[in-house]
Amino acid sequence: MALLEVEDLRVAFGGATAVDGVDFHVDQGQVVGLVGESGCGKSVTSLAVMGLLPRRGVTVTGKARFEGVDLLSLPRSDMRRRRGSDLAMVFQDPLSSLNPVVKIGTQITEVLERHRGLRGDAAVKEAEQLLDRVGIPDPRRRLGEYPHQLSGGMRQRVLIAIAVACAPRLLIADEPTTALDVTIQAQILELLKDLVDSEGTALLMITHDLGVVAGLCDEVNVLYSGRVVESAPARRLFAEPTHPYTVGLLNSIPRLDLPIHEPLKPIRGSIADVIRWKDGCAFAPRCDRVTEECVEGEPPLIGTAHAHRCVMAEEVA
Amino acid sequence: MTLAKIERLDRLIEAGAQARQAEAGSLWRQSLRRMRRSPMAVTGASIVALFMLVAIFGPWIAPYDPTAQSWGDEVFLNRSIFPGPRPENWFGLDHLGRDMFSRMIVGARQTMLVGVVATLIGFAAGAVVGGVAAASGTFGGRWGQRIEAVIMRTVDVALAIPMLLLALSVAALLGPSLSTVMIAVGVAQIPIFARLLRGSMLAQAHSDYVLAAISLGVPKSRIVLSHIFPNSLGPVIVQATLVLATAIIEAAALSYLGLGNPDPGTPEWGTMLADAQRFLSGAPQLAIYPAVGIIVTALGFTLLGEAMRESLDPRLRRQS
Amino acid sequence: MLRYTVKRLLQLAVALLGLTLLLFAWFKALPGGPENRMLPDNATDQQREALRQALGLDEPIWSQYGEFLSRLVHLDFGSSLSSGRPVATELADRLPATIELSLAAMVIAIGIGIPLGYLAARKRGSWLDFGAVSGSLVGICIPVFFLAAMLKVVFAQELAWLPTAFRLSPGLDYTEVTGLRVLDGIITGELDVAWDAFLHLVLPAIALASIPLAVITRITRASVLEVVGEDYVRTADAKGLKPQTIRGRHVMKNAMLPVVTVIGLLLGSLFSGAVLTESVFAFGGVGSFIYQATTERDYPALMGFILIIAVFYVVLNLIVDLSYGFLDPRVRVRS
Repeated sequence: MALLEVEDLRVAFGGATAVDGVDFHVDQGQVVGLVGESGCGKSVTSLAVMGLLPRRGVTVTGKARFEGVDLLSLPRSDMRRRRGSDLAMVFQDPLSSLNPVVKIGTQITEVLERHRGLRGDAAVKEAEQLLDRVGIPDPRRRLGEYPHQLSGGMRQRVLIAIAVACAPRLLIADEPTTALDVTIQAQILELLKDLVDSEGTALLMITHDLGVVAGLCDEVNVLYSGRVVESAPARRLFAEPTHPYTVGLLNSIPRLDLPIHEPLKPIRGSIADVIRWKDGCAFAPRCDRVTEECVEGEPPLIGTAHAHRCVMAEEVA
Repeated sequence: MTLAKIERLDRLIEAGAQARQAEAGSLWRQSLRRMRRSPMAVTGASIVALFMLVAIFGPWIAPYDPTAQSWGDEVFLNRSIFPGPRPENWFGLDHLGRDMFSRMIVGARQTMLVGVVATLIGFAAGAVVGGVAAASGTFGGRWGQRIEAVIMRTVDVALAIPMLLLALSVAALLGPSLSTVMIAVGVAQIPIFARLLRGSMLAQAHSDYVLAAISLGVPKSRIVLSHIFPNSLGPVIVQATLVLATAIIEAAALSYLGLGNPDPGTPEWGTMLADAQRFLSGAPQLAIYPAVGIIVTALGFTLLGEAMRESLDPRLRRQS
Repeated sequence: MLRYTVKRLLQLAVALLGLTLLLFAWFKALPGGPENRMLPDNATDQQREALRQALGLDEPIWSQYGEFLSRLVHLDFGSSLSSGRPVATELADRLPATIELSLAAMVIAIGIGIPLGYLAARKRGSWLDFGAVSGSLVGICIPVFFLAAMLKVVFAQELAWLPTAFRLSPGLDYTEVTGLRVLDGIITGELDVAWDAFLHLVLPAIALASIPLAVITRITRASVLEVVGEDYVRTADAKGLKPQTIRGRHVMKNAMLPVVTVIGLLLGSLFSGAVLTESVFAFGGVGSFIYQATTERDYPALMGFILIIAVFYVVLNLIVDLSYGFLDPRVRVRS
């Protein structure tokens, strides 16, 4: 059974549509990737699921069922009780995501206090164990320190400790390694993988980095202009990418197994060159294989296990 | 290096600076466009424009001579003798029987003069102090840094003296008159302008184009005068707009304390307001007209200054 | 934190020394010099010379400065030229009134400004917000003495709800403890004195509070608006914390940092405002005294006042800075 089932999720900021009917699901204990360029709506999707979008000027429609309960229609206080305990989130920039004037210890214990009812020494002890679990040496001392006294990697470990503090069933990680040094990135990904494996937590990984996806994810959803354009198990996606956008993404990554002088093939144009989905394929203006069929109305999602949204896919394959 | 080579490099840097200035120009234009959409800026600019027009053309608009005592030699003993608004005198007459409406209109010029002169004094002296501090600190080596430290500590001390006190001390030196008020208010603004300009210049001094100019061997004095200084003026100009508002209010306060010239021939709102305090319970309108004039004008400059600051602030710009 | 404190104390000493230099220069630059003010107009040159010697005005400049400094250190500012009493005594008698008034104004400004600024930010775009923003803009632009005078005319003279002047009604028996009369009345149990002193304090305190209130409201609003958009507030929200925890620990704790700085800067304008307000309400504090000293060119009084106020201001700012270091851990480490 699906742990999280997102159905026809739409988010609009005023008149601008950021997410335009996204469907995907995350099964228990599964690692699912949400991939795309910046501006494709992947972060907004995750914030919408967490109920963290500002209320003013934002309209969210569709469904996000978590264990059968639609999170989007929950009262705010109920949602607040679930955030941090049933589902938790790790953000991109660990420095700005930690409160600069509150001790690390308090920032961890406050979530234990809120959702697990731990107080005083019990909370501190648990916080210490959490820091130890995410690989921070000398956790007792760190609890009394402030975020600016920690390195970038350490801060991200603290954020992860906060997120897993109440053993959530779903962890959402929004570009958790983008702001970090390359060497630290691998460590953080390793840590996430370990935590998820040992606890059976499901992980929704939001990234623009196909390398991260390849190393971590079971299922992958590729987003373009606010919609899923291809969704498949990770191996199949890399073995036989179907949508021209996915193909383009894969071709624009440098590879060691290709001849040295082979130039990279970037996708032309930018994400700003789009047409509306209801008029045709949003990727058409940048697509090499575009035909007239591509702009004759909304392209449907084709297939189940390996689904895509390209009317020309048969010819591509 | 040959002379010709130096000249060519100099020209290249000049061209770069010009390009940057063109860019800066478009930055100002961008700000202007943003400001036209902000109700705050439009209100402020309209008030300031109206005030300026009255200040310039006042003597020609005023229906009466603002100093003419149309009430003759009559003695005013009670409130009924201070005529309030009426058809021939829209704002009534003051305690000497002069037409308040004409006095308000003609008084705008002196009021603006006080504000502008005070601000210019603060701006000019502050620019010299702050500019010398920043320039010597950046390019003067160890001794320059010491000079900067001494200047800035002194500025800090001067900032520690409340503005009114500083003004009082100046007034104690010069004796009461309208120019005392201008100088006093202006002197009190020097430390603020000095700190602001120094901060702004230091930010410029650490920018890449200055580094490039240094590496090409452009004379330091030249870098400071023709590159750093002009580029640091933005925030200072905004501050000057805000200081204009403060200066008008402070000048009124000093007049109230008796440091201005009591009731000079040409009317001035601050002095009018100060003089009217004596008749406050009997004829409050005499105080209310100049007070409203001062408040609205100060409000206009404040709104304009705040709107300018907002439109120039890169952090706010990103959001829009 | 200790090193930070020591460093700030040293800076304070240097600043004060610089201030005495400025004061000395000012004193020397006064027109005619003090000896002319202290002698009758028909004094002979010999009398003049004798006084100059007595005042040490013929000695070299550096030894004059040394003398000047040592007198300042002993709080010896000379005698007031108008009253003839020592300036230090005059000031000591009047300071409590000014402190009481300033404290009352600050309590009003902080007590109303911070909650109002917070509410305006949370209800951004509402009528409350519009009212707070425009009210604070107007508050900055009203000349303090005009506001004070209008309050006096309307509430004290026309409506007669509150007393027009002074600190106590005549005939009330008053025991001085701290000099802050509302406090003294409570301490000694003379509640009628406390109440009466409070009534006398209301109008001047409101007038004096107008500018700080406006500034604090604006800064709080701007600061809360900025903090609410910060990533760490989103993190706190993602933790599912209660709204009151987010408000107190995550929003206000950060939003207060610029407000504390501004309160420190406001103290200077508070003293300026006190001079004006006191003179309207004949409040009998330092302000009224200094108003008189200025009009009569009572230089020793002015000098003593400037020094005392500057010391006050610098020390208060040190306290603000230290409390800032206490509130913001990043400052502690940087020093």
